[in-house]
Amino acid sequence: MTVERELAPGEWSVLALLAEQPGHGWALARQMAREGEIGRVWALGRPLVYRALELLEERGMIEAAGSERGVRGPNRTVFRATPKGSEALALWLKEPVEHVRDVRSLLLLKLVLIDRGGLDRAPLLQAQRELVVPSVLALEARLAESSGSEAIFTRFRLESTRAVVEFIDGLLAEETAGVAAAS
Amino acid sequence: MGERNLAPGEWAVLALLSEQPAHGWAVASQLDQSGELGLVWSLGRPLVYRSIDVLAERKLIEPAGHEPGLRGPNRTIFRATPAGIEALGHWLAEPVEHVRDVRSLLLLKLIFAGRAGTDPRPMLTAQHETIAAAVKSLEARMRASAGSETILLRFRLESTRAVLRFVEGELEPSTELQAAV
Repeated sequence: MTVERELAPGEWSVLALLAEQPGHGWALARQMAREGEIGRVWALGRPLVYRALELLEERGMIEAAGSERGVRGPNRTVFRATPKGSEALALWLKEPVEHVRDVRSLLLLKLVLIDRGGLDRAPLLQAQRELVVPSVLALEARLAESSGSEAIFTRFRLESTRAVVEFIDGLLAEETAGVAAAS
Repeated sequence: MGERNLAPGEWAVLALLSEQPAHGWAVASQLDQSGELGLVWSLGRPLVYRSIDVLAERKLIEPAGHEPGLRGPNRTIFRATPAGIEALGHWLAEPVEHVRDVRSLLLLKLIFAGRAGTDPRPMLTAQHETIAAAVKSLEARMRASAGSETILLRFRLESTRAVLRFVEGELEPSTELQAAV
Protein backbone atom coordinates (compact mmCIF):
# COMPACT_ATOMS: atom_id res chain seq x y z
CA MET A 1 0.00 0.00 0.00
CA THR A 2 1.31 3.38 -0.84
CA VAL A 3 0.39 6.35 1.30
CA GLU A 4 -1.61 8.87 -0.68
CA ARG A 5 0.18 12.14 -1.01
CA GLU A 6 -1.58 15.30 0.09
CA LEU A 7 -3.25 17.12 -2.78
CA ALA A 8 -1.34 20.09 -4.17
CA PRO A 9 -2.90 23.57 -3.99
CA GLY A 10 -3.70 23.55 -7.71
CA GLU A 11 -5.51 20.23 -7.30
CA TRP A 12 -7.54 21.57 -4.40
CA SER A 13 -8.41 24.57 -6.56
CA VAL A 14 -9.75 22.37 -9.35
CA LEU A 15 -11.78 20.45 -6.79
CA ALA A 16 -13.12 23.71 -5.34
CA LEU A 17 -14.18 24.96 -8.76
CA LEU A 18 -16.02 21.69 -9.40
CA ALA A 19 -17.68 21.90 -6.00
CA GLU A 20 -19.01 25.32 -7.04
CA GLN A 21 -20.34 24.05 -10.33
CA PRO A 22 -19.77 21.04 -12.62
CA GLY A 23 -17.42 21.78 -15.47
CA HIS A 24 -15.12 20.32 -18.11
CA GLY A 25 -11.36 20.51 -18.25
CA TRP A 26 -11.26 23.26 -20.79
CA ALA A 27 -13.40 25.65 -18.72
CA LEU A 28 -11.40 24.81 -15.60
CA ALA A 29 -8.12 25.46 -17.37
CA ARG A 30 -9.36 28.91 -18.31
CA GLN A 31 -10.17 29.77 -14.70
CA MET A 32 -6.81 28.39 -13.59
CA ALA A 33 -4.80 30.27 -16.24
CA ARG A 34 -2.53 33.04 -15.04
CA GLU A 35 -5.06 35.74 -15.90
CA GLY A 36 -8.06 33.69 -14.73
CA GLU A 37 -10.02 34.26 -11.52
CA ILE A 38 -8.17 31.62 -9.52
CA GLY A 39 -5.01 31.77 -11.59
CA ARG A 40 -4.27 35.25 -10.30
CA VAL A 41 -3.64 33.65 -6.94
CA TRP A 42 -2.59 30.17 -7.97
CA ALA A 43 -2.05 29.39 -11.63
CA LEU A 44 -2.07 25.90 -13.12
CA GLY A 45 -1.22 25.12 -16.75
CA ARG A 46 -3.66 23.22 -18.94
CA PRO A 47 -1.82 19.85 -18.85
CA LEU A 48 -1.68 20.01 -15.05
CA VAL A 49 -5.40 20.76 -14.87
CA TYR A 50 -6.08 17.58 -16.83
CA ARG A 51 -3.71 15.64 -14.63
CA ALA A 52 -5.48 17.04 -11.55
CA LEU A 53 -8.81 15.83 -12.94
CA GLU A 54 -7.41 12.33 -13.40
CA LEU A 55 -6.05 12.22 -9.88
CA LEU A 56 -9.22 13.61 -8.29
CA GLU A 57 -11.32 11.09 -10.19
CA GLU A 58 -9.01 8.25 -9.20
CA ARG A 59 -9.48 9.21 -5.58
CA GLY A 60 -13.25 9.40 -5.88
CA MET A 61 -13.34 13.12 -5.16
CA ILE A 62 -14.90 14.01 -8.47
CA GLU A 63 -16.93 11.99 -10.97
CA ALA A 64 -18.08 12.28 -14.55
CA ALA A 65 -21.50 13.91 -14.74
CA GLY A 66 -22.14 13.75 -18.47
CA SER A 67 -20.59 15.26 -21.52
CA GLU A 68 -20.90 18.40 -23.50
CA ARG A 69 -20.50 18.70 -27.22
CA GLY A 70 -17.23 20.37 -28.09
CA VAL A 71 -17.16 23.34 -30.45
CA ARG A 72 -14.65 21.43 -32.52
CA GLY A 73 -13.38 17.96 -31.89
CA PRO A 74 -14.64 15.37 -29.43
CA ASN A 75 -17.20 15.68 -26.65
CA ARG A 76 -15.96 17.01 -23.35
CA THR A 77 -16.53 15.17 -20.12
CA VAL A 78 -18.22 17.28 -17.47
CA PHE A 79 -17.06 16.56 -13.92
CA ARG A 80 -18.64 17.32 -10.57
CA ALA A 81 -17.39 17.01 -6.99
CA THR A 82 -18.55 13.93 -5.07
CA PRO A 83 -19.75 14.19 -1.44
CA LYS A 84 -16.36 12.72 -0.44
CA GLY A 85 -14.58 15.44 -2.39
CA SER A 86 -16.71 18.25 -0.98
CA GLU A 87 -16.12 17.01 2.54
CA ALA A 88 -12.35 16.80 2.10
CA LEU A 89 -12.36 20.26 0.56
CA ALA A 90 -14.29 21.77 3.46
CA LEU A 91 -11.71 20.39 5.90
CA TRP A 92 -8.78 21.70 3.85
CA LEU A 93 -10.33 25.14 3.58
CA LYS A 94 -10.53 25.40 7.37
CA GLU A 95 -6.94 24.33 7.97
CA PRO A 96 -4.53 27.23 8.59
CA VAL A 97 -1.34 27.58 6.57
CA GLU A 98 1.65 26.31 8.49
CA HIS A 99 4.42 28.67 7.35
CA VAL A 100 4.11 32.43 7.24
CA ARG A 101 5.98 32.44 3.92
CA ASP A 102 3.10 30.46 2.37
CA VAL A 103 0.47 32.97 3.41
CA ARG A 104 0.98 35.05 0.31
CA SER A 105 -0.07 32.13 -1.85
CA LEU A 106 -1.91 29.45 0.11
CA LEU A 107 -3.90 31.48 2.61
CA LEU A 108 -5.02 33.87 -0.12
CA LEU A 109 -6.03 30.92 -2.28
CA LYS A 110 -8.12 29.42 0.52
CA LEU A 111 -9.76 32.76 1.26
CA VAL A 112 -10.63 33.34 -2.38
CA LEU A 113 -12.07 29.82 -2.70
CA ILE A 114 -14.08 30.28 0.52
CA ASP A 115 -15.36 33.62 -0.72
CA ARG A 116 -16.47 32.15 -4.05
CA GLY A 117 -18.11 29.19 -2.33
CA GLY A 118 -20.00 31.54 0.00
CA LEU A 119 -18.56 29.72 3.02
CA ASP A 120 -17.66 31.09 6.44
CA ARG A 121 -14.04 32.24 6.57
CA ALA A 122 -13.98 33.02 10.29
CA PRO A 123 -12.78 29.54 11.42
CA LEU A 124 -9.80 29.64 9.04
CA LEU A 125 -8.94 33.22 10.01
CA GLN A 126 -9.10 32.47 13.74
CA ALA A 127 -6.92 29.36 13.40
CA GLN A 128 -4.44 31.23 11.21
CA ARG A 129 -4.24 34.09 13.68
CA GLU A 130 -3.40 31.68 16.47
CA LEU A 131 -0.54 30.31 14.37
CA VAL A 132 0.89 33.66 13.33
CA VAL A 133 0.80 35.60 16.60
CA PRO A 134 3.48 33.41 18.26
CA SER A 135 5.74 34.04 15.23
CA VAL A 136 5.36 37.78 15.79
CA LEU A 137 6.36 37.38 19.43
CA ALA A 138 9.33 35.18 18.55
CA LEU A 139 10.55 37.69 15.97
CA GLU A 140 10.18 40.58 18.44
CA ALA A 141 12.37 38.68 20.88
CA ARG A 142 14.92 37.93 18.18
CA LEU A 143 15.03 41.53 17.02
CA ALA A 144 15.75 42.71 20.55
CA GLU A 145 18.83 40.49 20.56
CA SER A 146 20.16 41.03 17.06
CA SER A 147 22.30 43.72 15.46
CA GLY A 148 23.74 44.66 12.07
CA SER A 149 22.36 42.94 9.01
CA GLU A 150 20.57 40.36 11.09
CA ALA A 151 18.60 43.12 12.79
CA ILE A 152 17.64 44.60 9.41
CA PHE A 153 16.54 41.23 8.16
CA THR A 154 14.67 40.35 11.35
CA ARG A 155 12.89 43.71 11.44
CA PHE A 156 11.73 43.16 7.90
CA ARG A 157 10.41 39.68 8.69
CA LEU A 158 8.74 41.01 11.82
CA GLU A 159 6.88 43.71 9.91
CA SER A 160 5.88 41.24 7.18
CA THR A 161 4.55 38.86 9.80
CA ARG A 162 2.69 41.66 11.59
CA ALA A 163 1.16 42.46 8.20
CA VAL A 164 -0.41 39.00 8.14
CA VAL A 165 -2.02 39.63 11.53
CA GLU A 166 -3.26 43.03 10.36
CA PHE A 167 -4.64 41.40 7.23
CA ILE A 168 -6.50 38.76 9.24
CA ASP A 169 -7.83 41.34 11.71
CA GLY A 170 -9.00 43.52 8.84
CA LEU A 171 -10.95 40.63 7.34
CA LEU A 172 -12.40 39.67 10.72
CA ALA A 173 -13.47 43.27 11.32
CA GLU A 174 -15.10 43.33 7.87
CA GLU A 175 -17.05 40.27 8.96
CA THR A 176 -18.28 41.91 12.16
CA ALA A 177 -19.14 45.09 10.30
CA GLY A 178 -21.08 43.03 7.75
CA VAL A 179 -23.04 41.25 10.46
CA ALA A 180 -23.74 44.55 12.24
CA ALA A 181 -24.95 46.11 9.01
CA ALA A 182 -27.18 43.13 8.27
CA SER A 183 -28.84 43.14 11.70
CA MET B 1 24.06 50.86 -24.84
CA GLY B 2 20.82 49.12 -24.01
CA GLU B 3 22.57 47.05 -21.39
CA ARG B 4 20.18 45.43 -18.99
CA ASN B 5 20.35 46.56 -15.38
CA LEU B 6 22.48 44.45 -13.13
CA ALA B 7 20.61 41.74 -11.24
CA PRO B 8 20.56 41.90 -7.42
CA GLY B 9 23.13 39.11 -7.16
CA GLU B 10 25.46 40.99 -9.50
CA TRP B 11 25.16 44.12 -7.38
CA ALA B 12 25.92 42.03 -4.33
CA VAL B 13 29.10 40.66 -5.94
CA LEU B 14 30.17 44.15 -7.00
CA ALA B 15 29.52 45.50 -3.50
CA LEU B 16 31.59 42.74 -1.93
CA LEU B 17 34.48 43.37 -4.33
CA SER B 18 34.33 47.09 -3.63
CA GLU B 19 34.75 46.33 0.06
CA GLN B 20 37.79 44.19 -0.57
CA PRO B 21 39.45 42.48 -3.58
CA ALA B 22 38.73 38.77 -3.58
CA HIS B 23 38.56 35.68 -5.74
CA GLY B 24 35.33 34.04 -6.83
CA TRP B 25 35.53 31.35 -4.24
CA ALA B 26 35.68 33.81 -1.33
CA VAL B 27 32.80 35.86 -2.78
CA ALA B 28 30.75 32.70 -3.20
CA SER B 29 31.19 31.71 0.42
CA GLN B 30 29.89 35.11 1.56
CA LEU B 31 26.86 34.71 -0.66
CA ASP B 32 26.25 31.16 0.44
CA GLN B 33 22.85 30.52 2.05
CA SER B 34 24.49 30.27 5.44
CA GLY B 35 26.62 33.40 4.95
CA GLU B 36 25.80 36.81 6.38
CA LEU B 37 24.40 38.05 3.08
CA GLY B 38 22.83 34.75 2.17
CA LEU B 39 20.00 35.55 4.57
CA VAL B 40 18.87 38.25 2.17
CA TRP B 41 20.30 37.19 -1.15
CA SER B 42 22.01 33.90 -1.70
CA LEU B 43 23.74 33.07 -4.92
CA GLY B 44 25.04 29.68 -5.95
CA ARG B 45 28.68 29.29 -6.89
CA PRO B 46 28.12 29.05 -10.68
CA LEU B 47 26.05 32.25 -10.60
CA VAL B 48 28.77 34.03 -8.65
CA TYR B 49 31.27 33.14 -11.38
CA ARG B 50 28.81 34.23 -14.05
CA SER B 51 28.26 37.54 -12.22
CA ILE B 52 32.02 38.07 -12.11
CA ASP B 53 32.15 37.55 -15.88
CA VAL B 54 29.35 40.06 -16.44
CA LEU B 55 30.92 42.65 -14.13
CA ALA B 56 34.36 42.22 -15.73
CA GLU B 57 32.88 42.53 -19.24
CA ARG B 58 31.30 45.81 -18.21
CA LYS B 59 34.58 46.97 -16.67
CA LEU B 60 32.97 47.37 -13.28
CA ILE B 61 35.57 45.02 -11.84
CA GLU B 62 39.05 44.00 -13.02
CA PRO B 63 41.63 41.33 -12.24
CA ALA B 64 44.03 42.43 -9.51
CA GLY B 65 46.37 39.46 -9.30
CA HIS B 66 46.35 35.76 -8.54
CA GLU B 67 46.42 33.65 -5.47
CA PRO B 68 47.66 30.08 -5.59
CA GLY B 69 44.74 27.69 -5.11
CA LEU B 70 44.81 24.99 -2.45
CA ARG B 71 44.34 22.48 -5.20
CA GLY B 72 44.11 23.13 -8.87
CA PRO B 73 44.79 26.34 -10.74
CA ASN B 74 45.53 29.80 -9.44
CA ARG B 75 42.58 31.92 -8.55
CA THR B 76 42.10 35.32 -10.09
CA ILE B 77 41.54 38.09 -7.60
CA PHE B 78 39.12 40.81 -8.69
CA ARG B 79 38.63 44.34 -7.46
CA ALA B 80 36.02 47.00 -8.22
CA THR B 81 37.10 49.63 -10.76
CA PRO B 82 36.43 53.35 -10.16
CA ALA B 83 33.51 53.01 -12.62
CA GLY B 84 32.19 50.09 -10.59
CA ILE B 85 32.44 51.99 -7.33
CA GLU B 86 30.64 54.94 -8.85
CA ALA B 87 27.84 52.77 -10.27
CA LEU B 88 27.48 51.06 -6.91
CA GLY B 89 27.24 54.42 -5.12
CA HIS B 90 24.40 55.49 -7.41
CA TRP B 91 22.60 52.22 -6.94
CA LEU B 92 22.88 52.36 -3.16
CA ALA B 93 21.48 55.90 -3.13
CA GLU B 94 18.47 55.04 -5.28
CA PRO B 95 15.19 53.83 -3.75
CA VAL B 96 13.68 50.58 -5.00
CA GLU B 97 11.04 51.14 -7.65
CA HIS B 98 8.59 48.31 -6.99
CA VAL B 99 7.30 47.33 -3.58
CA ARG B 100 7.64 43.67 -4.56
CA ASP B 101 11.42 44.14 -4.84
CA VAL B 102 11.81 45.56 -1.37
CA ARG B 103 12.27 42.17 0.24
CA SER B 104 15.39 41.61 -1.81
CA LEU B 105 16.77 44.90 -3.12
CA LEU B 106 16.08 47.32 -0.30
CA LEU B 107 17.43 44.91 2.29
CA LEU B 108 20.57 44.38 0.20
CA LYS B 109 21.11 48.12 -0.14
CA LEU B 110 20.65 48.69 3.57
CA ILE B 111 23.04 45.93 4.46
CA PHE B 112 25.74 47.17 2.10
CA ALA B 113 25.27 50.77 3.24
CA GLY B 114 25.65 49.53 6.81
CA ARG B 115 28.81 47.58 5.98
CA ALA B 116 30.28 50.56 4.12
CA GLY B 117 29.32 52.93 6.93
CA THR B 118 27.40 55.22 4.56
CA ASP B 119 24.22 56.96 5.69
CA PRO B 120 21.14 55.23 4.23
CA ARG B 121 18.77 58.01 5.32
CA PRO B 122 18.52 59.95 2.04
CA MET B 123 17.68 56.73 0.20
CA LEU B 124 15.24 55.66 2.92
CA THR B 125 13.51 59.04 2.88
CA ALA B 126 13.00 58.74 -0.87
CA GLN B 127 11.84 55.16 -0.40
CA HIS B 128 9.35 56.27 2.23
CA GLU B 129 7.75 58.64 -0.24
CA THR B 130 7.28 56.03 -2.97
CA ILE B 131 5.85 53.51 -0.53
CA ALA B 132 3.50 55.98 1.15
CA ALA B 133 2.13 56.78 -2.32
CA ALA B 134 1.66 53.07 -3.02
CA VAL B 135 -0.25 52.66 0.28
CA LYS B 136 -2.58 55.54 -0.62
CA SER B 137 -3.34 54.15 -4.05
CA LEU B 138 -3.97 50.64 -2.67
CA GLU B 139 -6.33 52.08 -0.05
CA ALA B 140 -8.33 53.80 -2.76
CA ARG B 141 -8.36 50.70 -4.96
CA MET B 142 -9.48 48.52 -2.09
CA ARG B 143 -12.41 50.79 -1.24
CA ALA B 144 -13.57 50.54 -4.85
CA SER B 145 -13.21 46.74 -5.07
CA ALA B 146 -15.41 43.78 -4.17
CA GLY B 147 -15.18 40.04 -3.49
CA SER B 148 -11.92 38.19 -4.13
CA GLU B 149 -10.37 41.36 -5.48
CA THR B 150 -10.80 43.00 -2.07
CA ILE B 151 -9.07 40.08 -0.36
CA LEU B 152 -6.07 40.31 -2.67
CA LEU B 153 -5.89 44.10 -2.41
CA ARG B 154 -6.17 44.02 1.36
CA PHE B 155 -3.24 41.63 1.48
CA ARG B 156 -1.15 43.84 -0.80
CA LEU B 157 -2.12 46.87 1.25
CA GLU B 158 -1.06 45.28 4.53
CA SER B 159 2.21 44.04 3.00
CA THR B 160 2.91 47.52 1.69
CA ARG B 161 2.08 49.10 5.05
CA ALA B 162 4.53 46.64 6.58
CA VAL B 163 7.28 47.95 4.29
CA LEU B 164 6.37 51.49 5.32
CA ARG B 165 6.67 50.56 9.02
CA PHE B 166 9.98 48.85 8.27
CA VAL B 167 11.36 51.94 6.55
CA GLU B 168 10.13 54.14 9.39
CA GLY B 169 11.82 51.83 11.86
CA GLU B 170 15.10 52.08 9.94
CA LEU B 171 14.79 55.87 9.83
CA GLU B 172 14.41 56.13 13.58
CA PRO B 173 17.62 57.01 15.37
CA SER B 174 19.10 53.74 16.54
CA THR B 175 18.89 52.87 20.20
CA GLU B 176 22.67 52.47 20.32
CA LEU B 177 23.10 56.08 19.25
CA GLN B 178 20.58 57.22 21.79
CA ALA B 179 22.39 55.29 24.46
CA ALA B 180 25.66 56.95 23.42
CA VAL B 181 24.08 60.40 23.82
